[in-house]
Amino acid sequence: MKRVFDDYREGLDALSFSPAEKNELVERLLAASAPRRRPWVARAAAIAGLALVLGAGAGVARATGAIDAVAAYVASAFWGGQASDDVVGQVGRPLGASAACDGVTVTAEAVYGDRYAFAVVLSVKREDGEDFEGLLDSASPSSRGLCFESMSLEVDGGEKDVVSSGSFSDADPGDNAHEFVILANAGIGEGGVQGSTARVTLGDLYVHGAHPGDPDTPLAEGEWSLEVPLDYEDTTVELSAGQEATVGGVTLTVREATVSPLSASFVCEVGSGGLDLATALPVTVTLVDGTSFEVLNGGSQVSPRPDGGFDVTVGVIFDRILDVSDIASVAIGDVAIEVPRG
Amino acid sequence: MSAGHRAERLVNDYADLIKRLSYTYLGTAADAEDVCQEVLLKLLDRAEPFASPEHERAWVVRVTANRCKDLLRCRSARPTLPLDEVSEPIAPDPGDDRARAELVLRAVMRLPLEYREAIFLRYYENYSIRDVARACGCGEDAAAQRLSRGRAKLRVLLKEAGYDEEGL
Repeated sequence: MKRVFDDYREGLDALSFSPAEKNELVERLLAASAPRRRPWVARAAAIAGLALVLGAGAGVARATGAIDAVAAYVASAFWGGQASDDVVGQVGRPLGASAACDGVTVTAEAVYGDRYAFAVVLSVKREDGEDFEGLLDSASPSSRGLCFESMSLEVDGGEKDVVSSGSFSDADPGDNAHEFVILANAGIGEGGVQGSTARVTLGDLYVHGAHPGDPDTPLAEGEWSLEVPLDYEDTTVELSAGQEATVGGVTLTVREATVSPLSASFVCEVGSGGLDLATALPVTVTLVDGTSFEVLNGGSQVSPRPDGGFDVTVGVIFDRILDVSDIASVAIGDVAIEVPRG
Repeated sequence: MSAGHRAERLVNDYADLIKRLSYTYLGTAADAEDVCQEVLLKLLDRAEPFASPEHERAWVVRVTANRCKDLLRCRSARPTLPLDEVSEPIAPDPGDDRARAELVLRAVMRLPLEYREAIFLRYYENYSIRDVARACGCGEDAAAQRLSRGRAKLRVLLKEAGYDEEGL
C-alpha cells in the first residue's frame, strides 16, 4: 500500500496555512500570550516593593556598602528579595567591570549564586548618556525589544558545562541603563561552579522589529567580554535522598538533592518507559508558612540507560531569594524532600 | 530569542503539523485551526526547556492529541464521523494525483478514530510501532493490530471508491 500512503501524505500536506495565515497566527499568539507571559510590568512593581522593604530596613546597620550594591540589583535578577540582607550578602557579590564597544558600555553589576547555579546582572547603556533609539513599547515592555545577537558563557574556560539564558529588563525607565540578566545552571553533575570564574561574551546589540517580518535595527556592533568571579559564599544545603515514588506506573528515585536560597538541584533515576516523566519533572517549593510555588525556569538533562530507564539531572533557579530556614520542603515530581531545620 | 521570533519559529515548525493532526481527530479544518492556536499558545508560554527538538515535537503531538480528545469528549465523543459529514469520494482519474490524494484522505477520515490516529502517527509522522503505542496509550500489540485493521478497512473503502487497485 505504499502508494496509498504516499497519496495520504500528499492529501494531508495540502492542509496547511498560507504564509499570510501564518503571519496572522503569530500576531494572534503574541497578542494572546503577552498578558500571561512573565509579567515584566508586575516585576517593575516588585522592584518598587523591594525598595520599600529596603527602605524600612534603613535603620538596620549593615556590615558594608557592598550589601547595598548587591541588594540594588536583586529585583533585576529575581522577582523580589524575600530574604534578609544577611542572606543577600551571602549569595551576592557586587562586580563593576565594564567593557565598551561602538558607543555602548556593558557593566557587570552583581552576581548571585550557589554551588550549582548563578545569576549575573549586567547593565547596558550608551556612553553618551542617551537612551537607545527605536525601542519598542509593545509586547514585552521591559525588554523594549533589545536583544544581543550572540551570547556565550564559559565557566573555567569551558571546562564546566552550564545551561544559560539571558534576557533584558528595564528596572528604571527613567534612566538610559537596561539590565541584561543571565541565569546559568551547571547541575550537580558538574561538581559545582562556586569559586570558579565565568566569562560572558556578548555580540552585536539590536532592537527587533515591531512585528514579525519587520527588520531588526542594529544599535551597536562588536563584542563585549567580561570576567565574572563566582566568589560568593556557598549556601547550598544537601538534602536526604533515596526517596521513591511511582507515577503512572513509572518509578522515580531521587539520588541526590540540594537546595539553596536561590536554586534547587536533583539527580534522579526514572524507570523504563518514563521518557515523558523524565523530561517534565516539575519542582515545587513549599515554605514553612504553608505557601508554595512551582519553579518554571528549570532545565533537565536526560540520559538514557541501557535498562530502558533514564538518568535525569534537574537544576532550577527560583524567581526569588529565600532564607533556607523559610523553606519547608522541595518536591520533584511527586517526591517531597524536607529541608532540615537548624 | 525574542517572543516575536520564538512565535514565528513555532508557527513555522508546528502550525501545519498541529492542523493536520487535529484534522485527523476532529474532521474539520476550522476546529483544527482553533486547536492549533491553543497548542501553540501553550508552547509559547512554556518556560521549561525541551531536552531536544525531538522531545519538543513529541510534546506538540501529545498535547494536540490530548486537546482533540478533550474536544471529542465534549461533543459526546464521535469516534467516527457520520457519513454525511464526509463528502462522497469521486473516483479519480488515475493520473490526477491531487484527486487521488483527496480520495485517500477522505477514506482515512471514514475510519474509526483509533485507526486513523495510529495511521497518522505511523505513516505521516513515521513513528515506530512502540512510539505509536506510547502515543495512543496502548500496548505494542494493540497498536500493530489497529494499524493492520486500519489498513484492511482502508483497502475496502478505497476499492469501493474506485481507487486504482494496483496501488492497493
